[in-house]
Amino acid sequence: MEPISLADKSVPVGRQTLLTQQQIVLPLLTLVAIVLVAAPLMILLRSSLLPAGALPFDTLSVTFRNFAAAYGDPATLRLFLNTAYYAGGSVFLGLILATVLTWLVERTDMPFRTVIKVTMFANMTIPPLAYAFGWIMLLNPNNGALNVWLKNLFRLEQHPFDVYTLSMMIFISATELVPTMFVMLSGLFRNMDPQLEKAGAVSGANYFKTARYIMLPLLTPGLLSVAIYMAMIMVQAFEIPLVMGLTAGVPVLSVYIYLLSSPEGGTPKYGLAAAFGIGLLVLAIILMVVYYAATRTAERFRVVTGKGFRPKRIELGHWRYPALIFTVVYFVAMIAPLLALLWTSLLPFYQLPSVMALNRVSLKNYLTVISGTKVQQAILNTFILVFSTATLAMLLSGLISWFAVRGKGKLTRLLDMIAFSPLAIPRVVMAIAILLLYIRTPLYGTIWIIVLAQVTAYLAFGTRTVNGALIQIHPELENAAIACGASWLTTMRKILLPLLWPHFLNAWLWIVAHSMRDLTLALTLMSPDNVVLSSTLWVLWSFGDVPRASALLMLMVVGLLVIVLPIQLYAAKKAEGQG
Amino acid sequence: MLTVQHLEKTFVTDKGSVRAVDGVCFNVPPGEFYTLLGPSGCGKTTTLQCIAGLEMPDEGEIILGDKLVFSKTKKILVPAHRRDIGMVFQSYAIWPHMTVFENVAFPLLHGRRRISRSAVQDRVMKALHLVQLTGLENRPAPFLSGGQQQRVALARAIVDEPKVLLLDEPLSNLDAKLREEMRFELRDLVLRLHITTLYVTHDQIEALSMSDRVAVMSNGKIVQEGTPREIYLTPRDRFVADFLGKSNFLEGRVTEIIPGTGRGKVETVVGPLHCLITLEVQPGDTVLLGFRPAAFLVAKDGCAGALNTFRAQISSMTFAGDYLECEVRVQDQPLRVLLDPYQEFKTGDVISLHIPQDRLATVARL
Repeated sequence: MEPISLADKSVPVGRQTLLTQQQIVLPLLTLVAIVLVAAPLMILLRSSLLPAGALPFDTLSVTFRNFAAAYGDPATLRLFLNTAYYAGGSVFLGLILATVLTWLVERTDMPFRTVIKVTMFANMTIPPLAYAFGWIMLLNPNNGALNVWLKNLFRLEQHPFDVYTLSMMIFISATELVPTMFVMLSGLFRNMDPQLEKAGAVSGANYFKTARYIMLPLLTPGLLSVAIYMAMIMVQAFEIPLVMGLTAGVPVLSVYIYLLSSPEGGTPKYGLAAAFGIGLLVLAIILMVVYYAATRTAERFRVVTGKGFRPKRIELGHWRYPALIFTVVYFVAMIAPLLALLWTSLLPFYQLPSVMALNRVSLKNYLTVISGTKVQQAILNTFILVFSTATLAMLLSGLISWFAVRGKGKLTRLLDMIAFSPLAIPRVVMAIAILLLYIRTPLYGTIWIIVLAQVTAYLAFGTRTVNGALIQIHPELENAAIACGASWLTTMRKILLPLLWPHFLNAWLWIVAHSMRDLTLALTLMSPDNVVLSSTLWVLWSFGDVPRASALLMLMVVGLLVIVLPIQLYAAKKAEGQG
Repeated sequence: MLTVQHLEKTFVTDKGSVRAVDGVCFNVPPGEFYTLLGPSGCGKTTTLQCIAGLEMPDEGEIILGDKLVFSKTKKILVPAHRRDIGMVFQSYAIWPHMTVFENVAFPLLHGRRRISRSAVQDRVMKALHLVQLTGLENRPAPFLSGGQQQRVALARAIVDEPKVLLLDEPLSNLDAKLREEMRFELRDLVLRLHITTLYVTHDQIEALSMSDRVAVMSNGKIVQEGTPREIYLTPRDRFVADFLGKSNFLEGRVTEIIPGTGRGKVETVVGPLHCLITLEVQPGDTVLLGFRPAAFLVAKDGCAGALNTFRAQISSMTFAGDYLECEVRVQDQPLRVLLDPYQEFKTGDVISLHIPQDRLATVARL
């Protein structure tokens, strides 16, 4: 801008800035989002077209050999089918269990409702690896505790269960999905207008008919969108298929892609991994599109009337007992593997529970595992990883959400879309893409490459949470600060951040917990220097050091509880104080 | 103190563009209480937000105090937080995570004229005293009543003594009784502080009772500007006549214009009427005359035939306490008339009505 002469008018210009703070932050933010999300995907596409053995920036040659190799092989069909069976099966079973449990807790007079609710929320601190390891100790065909007991009890010829099968993988994944589904479904059930049910009852239908012809059709879109959302998560699930699926001979896409990029022997086949990665990405994107279509239908069927009402609970009567038995069985299935893990962590070597074994119980595993320098390094790395990931992801999410909700123009909408898209990018695919992008940089092999990958992955969750919270804050609260003479950044710091603090803290906590649980990114991007707790667990386990792996897992669960519980209580109190 | 020139602002939405502010010009001298009055969607709030810097105008110029803060042609835009204003919002926008004291101290601690912490205490207490909130400084904001929140908002807006105070429908969220009290209090306060005030409202009583001058807005334009008395008693525009209270309209043909007086004669169904000519018209033009129901005087019998006097028959009547609201007919033309409630009239009575010629004016050219 040229200097302004105002000699013709005796009005001086007020102090002005060339660019407002928003005008500086928005393009920077968009650039960061593009580097985080779009750049790895472009590299992935480029890598899938590379000749064997080459890295993305080595050559300009293009070949379709990887796609031909990947999709010309009849075994690939098996891979996709396995993935579909596993994801579909666990979502289907999980949804049935979750729907029954949610209905019992939200709409009936079943006892212990609050206890069930609290337990469901606390479940977020338990990593999937804990279930995988625990179930293997209970149900492996050689010396699984439950197998041995049942065999002795009923004098069976053979072990009744084999954990290394597709159906057991589905069962275990389903029980693990239930808490998340419970949280998603409880709102749906709670907000359903009981008048719709009453209208059915008045028309002369009994409860089961009302449920069949009125409630179920009304709930279908909601259930469907939860199912598709979960399917999107499950096609990229990694931990349980890695621990059990390989022994079971049921490889799924995510594990196969990991094995191509980190083979036990030989050189990594990045090109082929990228070609499979694109297949998995397409699958996830299709599910995402279907999810959007389904949620739009769900909007049309909205059963939430927004009126305050207390839905009448259904009296179970004698049905209370089967309901309680169902609930107890589910909780036993959730707790048994953790008990197996605890038991094993206290013994020098894995053995069945017995009085003799009880004499050997000690905390020795905990001490030895904690005193190892590698584990100490991993603990330090984990701290750096989870706190930087959660803090950076929330910082970025906060800024992106502000522009997405308050901003105008095309750039802000683009930013919002970029931030949401990692939801459809399977973890293992993102890990490979980030690995290929940064393999030649000093970032590769450090803990920060995992931080980068996780920040990208949790951007979708972070922005969705902050968007939802920000919409409820009246924009005049910010305008008032600006009219008082506070700059935009001061307004964000002094007004918005304190107001959104409970939401921020909750989302931050969620990311901390999930960042610590994550094995996909940590393992795919692992190097000797950036080992974290989850990858250490896997290494210990695959070397057969089961007792110490169990001890470390127990420490991780307890550690998460110690971090998560107090902060959650504080956030809940804070949110209450403001409401 | 505040000058707005040729302000324009168009909003582009999915359904097309809306010209929210369309060439608004006005000037508020120091210390004046100036009101933008109009129905919702007339552009008054957008105008206010452009002045505050919360919206960016497409065209025009804004001068705040002695500083040019926006000019399209000179490419000048001073951001909102650098403009010397205080503002009260419709929702009060009291920050719920702060106490009363912290809310009011915010402009002094983070605003354009930061002062030392020791001086802050003094200034905040003074501002709270002005709005009669002494003793509540440590109360958390969520524990305030609507009226108290409004006072906090006002204290926050005046605490750093801005050149111009912007008020965006500040009374619309209060209940009727409180609104009436606050009207006088607010007026009194800005008078005492001698702050130039721009007030935005859709409530005609607020506009008339508080303002030094009022600008009535419609469709993004100022249609009439004047003192409350001028605006109400002699509306010069059909919209103003209609929006502010009830009005009578009569169609007529201009027969005479008396040069230099701003007056003329219009032939109507009730006879020839002497009136104010406020539009550019020529003899022979068809115009619409507007006048208030309270403009009439009851003439003594026998005055029939005098200037602006005609006989009318009462066709219906409502006793409203402070006045008698009647519909009368003059040659089949219905007119609304307010009469003295102490006089006794009956439906069917024929009375003589007189309108002084300063009480009716042309409001539209047809």
